[in-house]
Amino acid sequence: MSDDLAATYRDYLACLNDRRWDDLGECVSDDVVRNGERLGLSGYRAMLEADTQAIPDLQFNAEILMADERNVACRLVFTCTPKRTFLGVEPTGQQVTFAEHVFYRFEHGRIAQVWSVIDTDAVREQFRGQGN
Amino acid sequence: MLYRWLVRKRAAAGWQQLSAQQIDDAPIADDMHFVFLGDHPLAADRRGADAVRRWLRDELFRRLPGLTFVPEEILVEGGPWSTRIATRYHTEQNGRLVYRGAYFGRAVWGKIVEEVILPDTKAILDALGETTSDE
Repeated sequence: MSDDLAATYRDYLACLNDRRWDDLGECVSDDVVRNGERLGLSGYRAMLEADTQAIPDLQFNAEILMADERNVACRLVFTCTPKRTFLGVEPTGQQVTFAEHVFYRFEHGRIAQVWSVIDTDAVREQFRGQGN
Repeated sequence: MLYRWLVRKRAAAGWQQLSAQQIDDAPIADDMHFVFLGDHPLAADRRGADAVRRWLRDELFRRLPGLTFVPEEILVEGGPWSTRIATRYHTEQNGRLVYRGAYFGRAVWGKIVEEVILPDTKAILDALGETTSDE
């Protein structure tokens, strides 16, 4: 593993978990692209702020973290309690667990591109089960 | 470093083999644990080489014939006693994008012992001609 990039990525996760949005630009490029969409730093921040407003106890925990000289791959696992509509599903007040597989390309030490797949089915399935 | 380079090459060749449906050639450990996440007809949690090969042959390629895999990024770490592999990939049918996926696997002495794959579920349902239950 590239220890430098892994450490940089852990700093990024700490920034998210501490909700230090004003520091996000230290880890994320001004022109960041996510799943092919150019969000830019402000759009990326808005997305994260919306997610954490919907899920106040959202913590980004890396279950698997791999890094080379330019890329990071991470399996994130979330155990949390959504308070607002999340991924199009109304919250039930109960805890859910789901995963995100995400790949990052870094440029000049900051995240420039993100490819993310979220296990939205797991969230729907758990909400559905709790609604029964 | 050389080992990681070799594994990356081997992994890329493995995706080509899979595209060619050379399922019996895949280096699967007898006790492999395979998870294909999601709520769709291809979702799977299988244990054992035979069960994984059956899923590939009787589920994946039967439902999506001619599916091919295009790795876009492969990361490797660890030594031959425990090698982690991560792959970002997409799939195609007749040159048309079918779905994207993100793969994490682990190999021990050249045999894959675990894989967990998170695909773009909506794209899979579209490809299978189905819709999500909440639509």
